[in-house]
Amino acid sequence: MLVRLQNLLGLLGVCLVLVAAFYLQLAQGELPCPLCLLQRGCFVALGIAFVLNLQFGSSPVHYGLMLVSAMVGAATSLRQILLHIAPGDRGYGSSFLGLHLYSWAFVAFSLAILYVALMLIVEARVDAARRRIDIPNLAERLCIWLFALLVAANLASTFLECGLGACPDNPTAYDWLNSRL
Amino acid sequence: MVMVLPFAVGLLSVLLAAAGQRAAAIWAWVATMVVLLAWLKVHATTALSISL
Repeated sequence: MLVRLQNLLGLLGVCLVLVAAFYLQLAQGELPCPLCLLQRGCFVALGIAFVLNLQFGSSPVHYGLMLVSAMVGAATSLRQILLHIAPGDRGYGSSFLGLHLYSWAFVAFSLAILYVALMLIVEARVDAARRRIDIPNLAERLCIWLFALLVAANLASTFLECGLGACPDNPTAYDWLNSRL
Repeated sequence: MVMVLPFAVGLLSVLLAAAGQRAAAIWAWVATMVVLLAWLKVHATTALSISL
């Protein structure tokens, strides 16, 4: 039960990050840059690993996928932090509590690595018989479908912004959508 | 560089997992990660149009 709850909370955390990114995009008109989209992609990869644990029971393979997702996400956000490290650079996009969103993404991916470590410690203390595969309950199924909806929304939003190509480094409009209007 | 690709393959992975296809979902996750790493390499190695 505790192991499944940990995975549900992890998936909810990923959903929260994706919802917050959409809030900034839709309510405040902050379009995601290519590196921002790559960070969202890493959050999606992380979420998929939580879905696998919820759907099929926990497995070392799934935890490995979580760690790889979080490490690639941390590397991507660190790349963006380093782009704006020069003195006088005001950074890209808005900031929250003094940190830009890519800095928060680095914090989130680092916390995800720590969270997975804690999950593994808790799981090692749980009796193997209690780690059997259960059918996801209603809350877990709802969370999985909310996550699927957010991934689909990211797919649609990225298509409207970039079409079937690369996005501009500093996007200001939904290029594909504008080209059709 | 097709920016929608990681989300398209990622969505496929979620749907496969929801449909009970574990192995296919994991392979779709691997494809998602390969695309993310390839796009990151492009971004980390191309010249930037910024002045420092």
